[in-house]
Amino acid sequence: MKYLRILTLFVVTALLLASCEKYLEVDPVDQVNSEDAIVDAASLKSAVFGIYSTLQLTELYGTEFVEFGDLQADVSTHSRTYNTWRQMDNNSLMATNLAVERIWRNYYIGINRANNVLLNITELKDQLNDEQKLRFSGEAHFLRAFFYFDLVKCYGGVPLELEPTGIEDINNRPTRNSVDDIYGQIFKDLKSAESELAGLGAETGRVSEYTVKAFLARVNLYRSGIGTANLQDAIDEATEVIESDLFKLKDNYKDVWETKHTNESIFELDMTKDDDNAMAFFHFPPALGGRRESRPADELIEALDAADERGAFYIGDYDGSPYSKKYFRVDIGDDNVPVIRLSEMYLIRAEANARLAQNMDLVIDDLNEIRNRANLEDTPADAYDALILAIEQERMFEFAFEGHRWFDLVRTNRAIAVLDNVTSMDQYLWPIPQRERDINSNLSQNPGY
Amino acid sequence: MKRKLVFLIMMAVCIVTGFAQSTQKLVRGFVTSADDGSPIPGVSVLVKGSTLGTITGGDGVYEILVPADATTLVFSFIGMETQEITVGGQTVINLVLKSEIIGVDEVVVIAYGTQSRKLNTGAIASVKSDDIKMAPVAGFESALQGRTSGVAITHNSGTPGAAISVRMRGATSISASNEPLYVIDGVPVTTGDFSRMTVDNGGATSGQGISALSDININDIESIQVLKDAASASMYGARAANGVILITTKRGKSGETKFNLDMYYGFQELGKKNDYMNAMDMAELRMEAYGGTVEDYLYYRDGKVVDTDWQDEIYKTAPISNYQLSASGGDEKTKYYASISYMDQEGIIENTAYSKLSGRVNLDRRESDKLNFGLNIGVSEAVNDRISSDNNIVNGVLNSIMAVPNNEPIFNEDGSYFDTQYPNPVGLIKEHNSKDKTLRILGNVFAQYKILPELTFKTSFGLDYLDKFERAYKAKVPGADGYATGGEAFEADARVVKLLNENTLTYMKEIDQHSFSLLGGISFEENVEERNYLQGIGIGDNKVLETASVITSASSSSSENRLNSLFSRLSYDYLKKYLFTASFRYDGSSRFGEDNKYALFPATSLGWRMTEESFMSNVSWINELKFRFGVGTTGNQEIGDFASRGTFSANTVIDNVLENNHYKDLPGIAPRALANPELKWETTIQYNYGVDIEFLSGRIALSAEYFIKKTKDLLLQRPIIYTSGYSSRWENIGKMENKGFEFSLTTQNLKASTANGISWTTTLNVSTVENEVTKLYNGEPFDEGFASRVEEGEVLGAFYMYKSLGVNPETGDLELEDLNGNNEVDPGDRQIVGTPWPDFYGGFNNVVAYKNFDLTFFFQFSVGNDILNGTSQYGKWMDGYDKHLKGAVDRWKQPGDITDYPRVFSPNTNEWSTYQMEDGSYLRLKTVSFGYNIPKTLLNRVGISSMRVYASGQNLLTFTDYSGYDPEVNYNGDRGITRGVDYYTYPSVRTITFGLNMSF
Repeated sequence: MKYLRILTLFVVTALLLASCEKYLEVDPVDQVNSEDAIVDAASLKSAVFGIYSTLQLTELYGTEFVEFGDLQADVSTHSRTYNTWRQMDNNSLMATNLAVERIWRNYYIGINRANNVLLNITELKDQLNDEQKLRFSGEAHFLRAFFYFDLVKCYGGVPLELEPTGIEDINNRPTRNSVDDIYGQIFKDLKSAESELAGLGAETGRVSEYTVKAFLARVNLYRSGIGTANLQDAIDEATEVIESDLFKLKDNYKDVWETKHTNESIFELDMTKDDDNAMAFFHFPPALGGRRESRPADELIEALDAADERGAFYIGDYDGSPYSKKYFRVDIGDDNVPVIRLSEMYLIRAEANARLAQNMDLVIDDLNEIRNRANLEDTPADAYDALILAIEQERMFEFAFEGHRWFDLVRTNRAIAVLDNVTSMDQYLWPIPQRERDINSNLSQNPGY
Repeated sequence: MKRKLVFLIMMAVCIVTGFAQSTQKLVRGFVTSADDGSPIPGVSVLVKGSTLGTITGGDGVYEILVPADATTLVFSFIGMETQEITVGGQTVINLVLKSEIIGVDEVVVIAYGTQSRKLNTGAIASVKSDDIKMAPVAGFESALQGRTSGVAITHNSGTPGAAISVRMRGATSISASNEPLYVIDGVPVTTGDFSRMTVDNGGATSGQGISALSDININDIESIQVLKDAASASMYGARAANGVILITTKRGKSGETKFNLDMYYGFQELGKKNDYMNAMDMAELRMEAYGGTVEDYLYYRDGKVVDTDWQDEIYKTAPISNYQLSASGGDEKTKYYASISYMDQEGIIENTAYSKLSGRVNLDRRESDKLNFGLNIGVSEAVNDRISSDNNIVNGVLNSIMAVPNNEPIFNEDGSYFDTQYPNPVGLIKEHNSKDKTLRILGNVFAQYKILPELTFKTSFGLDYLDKFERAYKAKVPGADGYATGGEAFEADARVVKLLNENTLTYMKEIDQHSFSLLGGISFEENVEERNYLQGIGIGDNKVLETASVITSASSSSSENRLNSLFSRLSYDYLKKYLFTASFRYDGSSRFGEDNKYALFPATSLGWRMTEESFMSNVSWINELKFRFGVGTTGNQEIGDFASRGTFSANTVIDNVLENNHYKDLPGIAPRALANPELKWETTIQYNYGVDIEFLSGRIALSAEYFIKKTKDLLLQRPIIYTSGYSSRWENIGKMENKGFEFSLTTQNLKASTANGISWTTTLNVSTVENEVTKLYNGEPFDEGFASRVEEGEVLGAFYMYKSLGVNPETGDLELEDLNGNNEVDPGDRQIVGTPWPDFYGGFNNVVAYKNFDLTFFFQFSVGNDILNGTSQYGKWMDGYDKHLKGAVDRWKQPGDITDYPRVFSPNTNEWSTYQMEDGSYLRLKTVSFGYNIPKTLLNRVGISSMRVYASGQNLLTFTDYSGYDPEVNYNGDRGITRGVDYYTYPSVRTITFGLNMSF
């Protein structure tokens, strides 16, 4: 009897043990194993949206990357406590600056997302129709180029990553590619995107054929630096966009922000209530629900013509202190971010022509197109040199709080002349983040850091 | 003839017996407990030198026939001091038995069983209910502070119900949890913080976090055993690397029903105010910085300069109270303990409070000699009202108190809240609202069956159910989140359920002088966590989400993990002199990589009780001398449920924040983590050397331990180069060591010879721990938080920053050491300048009793640790923006000034440097308690068997050089690395309570 009991017990135990292996099989419900993640057209589309979503991060177009282009220049000035912002404002960046580190990181997060999509398009080719294949591939190529462009503007040459990271890659210690390598890849990706998206039509918030052309205009302008190479390409791309007739300058400048997805936007980053665009929060004074981490710079306020409708729109006043209110949905934080607008095409064409010292009338027409819309008189400039400076200033007013000014002054090597706290071209580039160099000793530091 | 002989002998026996009877006398009396004056049933009363004896009844009364030649009676009871009383001419002997100071026959609770302390070979510290009961704190871990060696307990903040960090023998992990495993009546309990508010207010920064352990009612605890070494803890395998704390709740004893009523009521207040500039000081500073006149920086109300002391406006004296009624008793077959308790604590900041209603029933049924079964169940409902603090500049009350200058008024002329520089703190506490309610059900049912006299089977089913429902409201206060959004509210629900089944077989046998005990078991455990969250804006006047005009966010998440384990232990002793234990646990966990699902954790220990040797029998002044050695391995698996997987998901964790991947409100997915199929447990091998000595009949007892803990395969969130698109991955990379000494000395300085005599007992414990990170990936150091570093050869979380050289008397600049000599301040000048770990820490307790009075005073200390006073950073930034510290009045103003505070706009004040680091050593009078036992003669008339009234104070005195609120601070308490940082943390409180313990 006793032994029977013991035997029963052991049998029960043995049965319990046998079930153990299975007992430990638990799968997550809110995550998918990587190899099961992108398996069809629908999941591939989600993965493409995942790339766009990178741009919404607070450190990128969700606030900081846009902000810093103005903070480093004379469009906005730091007015609160963030040390990272203060260093940007003073143009005295340290390699430990967390914003410098996070922007670097977030762009590479986006690049890896794009690389994942591009690889999976090849692997899933049998499950996709042509349009899906071309559109997804075009979007991924464009966004990857877009990320690299912002990286090369800030950091100079950076490591070129074109394959998704696998577990075998984590010990890689890449070196920096040259600025030429990066621009080479940007052009290559944009050309792929241009042909892939050709004729596929547009959808709000997503990249279209003309987004690529407009961006090519911008990249070519930057690539020209203070020289003249690429300028004609910039003119051609800009002209193609302008003449496509798909985009229109709004009668009122403010409509571009007060209404979402106007037809002035060539690429407008969509932000919903879940995406938390913090720009308004960081601009509005506390009494209006923000923390005014930065405010419009005195240089901007003083330079703006009283008649300029743009200044009246984007510079607010609370209790005698200015604040920027181009992004104003402080309650929900769903301000869209117009990334490329038609007005930029006019100004790119004007600048490129002026610098090539050609088509004076068109330069003046293009510039006046923008000035008149803002309720300003025609430009008094009538020589190429004067026009170049007039366009520079027009870009400051037109793109204030859109993150252009610093990069404009840097690409034309005007920052030292214009900004008090820039005394050396070493300040034109950000440092390579210290954290990254701690891990990867193959990364050289930019001069001056 | 034969018959005659038999008859004669019988007669003789009768005569002898009769004679004997005639020389016996009857002695009677009753035995009570010195602790609470209650009668003690079951006390053994023995005539010394004979086998004659009896035991006391349920009322503590005994009667015994004592032979005429007997001189002495011996009274003994488990857990009480044995007493010998000379009979003399007495016929009534009433006796008060005292709790044993160092229990020779003390029983310790060990993993899956109990053991005589003298036969135990591990490093186990015990804390009895007497030491902690009625401590005016929400969590029992708090009451353990300073009570045992080897356990460093830090209150992360003074938030009512706040989480507490417990570090047993240093830190064994860099990235995973360093908190011990808690096991209550055999159920490993759910710990952690399931509050959404904690996450909402700064992610990883949770000094204001709360602890699931505060749901446990401290007054239901009978004893707490702290399993420090591997030999004791490794029976819990993959969860035991940080030590194990076993909690046993109270059980019924057979006898008449005994009721206990315990209550206290008291007050808490801020321990110490910070010293800040007044309005005029600030105005002068601002004038110096920004020009103008003093008048430019002052406000007036009713013709007077505004000088708001925000600390006075916010902090208040707050009541705390607790009431507990319990009943226990039973008969031979059935025993029970039941209690109901209510605790109510207000915070010293308005609108913060913690209250808890809890009940418990523990039942034991002895059905037959073979079968018994029972039930333990505790239920509680806790309500916690909090404010946001730590590292929250948008809604943080603490930030506002410490940063808004005194210049600014509370209200506008029209009575609305003044738009202060940071959200108006008075507005925040009055208008914000955050409340969470936690229902907790924790318990198990068990049955035990003796298959053979030596072989017992036990099975138990355990449950730990936690449901936290939370509501928070951010008000329309200028500068706060809710201002622009017309009020913001959220509701969050977290449901965390653990199910447990354990089955053990125990075989116990004694052969001659050899004793064996063999245990084998198997257990299954599953943990499921489900949460949801809703957020809305545009909230109506009643401040609840129901009135939201827009729901801005809605999400849900869930997670699950399972454990399956086999374990076994063999204990053996020979003559109770040579002791041996060996054990193993084989754990399988769903959390780990495909290639490493299971792991084995063996342990063994040896003991030698030298006092049992014949050559020691002449050394009468040593009562006990035991040497112990143990070695074993334990593990740590606290890294999240799916860390080994490479996954994509709709959210990506970036900087500890969950970022959604959708676009245009359409689904988006992205890589979330890189896989590591080899991911496994952290393994800690620990060596423990111990000695226990008792002198002078146990009046002096010393335990000393030395341990070495080596942890390998450290779960490290290894930083990955960002160009990969990832930030980090969990890997088993690192190694870390902890070693240290622990001493625990108990002395009975004065021993009462009579019940009315004076007695005084002192317990001192001192511990050291030397922590060293010994291996990191490629030897690469990394930083976390403000200035905490992980570097080979250094302590975990060493402070790594610039070294301040002080203020240059000529320029007034704060100068930092140019370590790399390149004539500028750059990251290469940072160096290791301090440690958050103390050189030694401990506690010093005194218990004095005289007649009906008792006095306890308990000190607790920590020496040699540094604090990074992050709160002070902006207070001495010297930019005149935030409120500055009073000391900054003496800032540098002209060449030749020698001062600690640099000039206005000095460089380098914004960098982390030793300018903000301070010595965090302290000695604290943690508890003083003075009690009076009302004489029984008065009580018996009203049917009360004992009653004690007392007054008690907590944190009455703190000796420290630290300038902030409290040297015991750890704002980022749930992280292993960023220890010892103060950042706008809710300060701890000083408490005075008056209480009553009564039994009837």
